[in-house]
Amino acid sequence: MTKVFILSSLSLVFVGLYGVLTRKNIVKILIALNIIETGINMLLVAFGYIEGGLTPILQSDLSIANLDKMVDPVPQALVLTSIVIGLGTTAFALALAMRYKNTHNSISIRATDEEGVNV
Amino acid sequence: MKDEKSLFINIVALLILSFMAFYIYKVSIDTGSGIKITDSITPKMRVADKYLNKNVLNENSTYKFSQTAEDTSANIVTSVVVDYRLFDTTLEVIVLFVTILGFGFVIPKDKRRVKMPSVILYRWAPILMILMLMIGGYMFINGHLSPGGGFPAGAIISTAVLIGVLAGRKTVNHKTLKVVEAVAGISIFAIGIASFFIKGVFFQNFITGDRIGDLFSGGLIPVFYGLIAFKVAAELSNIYFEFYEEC
Repeated sequence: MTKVFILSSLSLVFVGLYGVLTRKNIVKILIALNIIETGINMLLVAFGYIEGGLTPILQSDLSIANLDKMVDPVPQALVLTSIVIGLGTTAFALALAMRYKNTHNSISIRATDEEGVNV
Repeated sequence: MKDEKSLFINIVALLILSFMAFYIYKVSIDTGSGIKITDSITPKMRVADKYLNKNVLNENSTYKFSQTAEDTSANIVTSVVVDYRLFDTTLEVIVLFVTILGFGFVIPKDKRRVKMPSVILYRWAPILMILMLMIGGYMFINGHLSPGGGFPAGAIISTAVLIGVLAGRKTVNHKTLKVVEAVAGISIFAIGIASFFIKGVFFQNFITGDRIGDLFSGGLIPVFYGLIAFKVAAELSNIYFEFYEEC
């Protein structure tokens, strides 16, 4: 099961990398970066996963007895903050894209002042 | 876009990526000696084994449920975020603040046309906002007992503000948001300095003697999570105001 998680998250990362490498549209590149971020978050959580694990919340004496069976809480704590930072950086990048559109009148990364008008 | 759909670039990118993906997958399922990142069967290989077994300092320390062995919360993820790694969390809140500050500088202040909302959205927005504020408040109050916490609660509260902005209702203004953000940010560090004077260690939990699992337990953990929720909500609402502002 862990292999399935790792394979799916790695495929998300590489779908995003493919988008970053081949697209010319800035908004598409930002969406690809967000896909990479999702894949990396999923990979971090998958590293802490165990087969048939419990949620890391102390609910009763039973959960104290089964501390070994809990999934790893540290990657989940890291991912929790990384999602919020991802939202902030995405908003910053979108603001930069708006400014780029204002100056170049285009959202292609190949745009110059002359050719950008028609792209 | 010019040459975005060129066949050569796509084939080269696919080749490079499949090469890299093959090697990364091979490394991650490697069964040699050393750290096995996918070996989750043996608990000794996991990072948080020491935290889970509560033997960071003492090999023999054990505790029972609903007793005062350690001043942490029932949710271990919250304990990691707001107790063991509180420095990391506060500095990440500051990173978010700096990002929003840069966003305010960079965003172009031109005239944007804002479409008038439909009647359905205008009438239903307050009801949706009340429900969202309720769920957000529930989340950061119960952040130390159940999944959730300050960051998701802040995101939910700011989404309520976003619905108000989209519906064209007057909710909060810029000045209130800035005051909320400043007060929350200053109180986090003020509590940290207070715990330095009380306990001698920065950000040490100085309210002790609670039972694990109660609503009022965990000492300073719910207080910090509430402050973080308000700070994140104010910062994220600031983004939506900047995007939708008629200036």
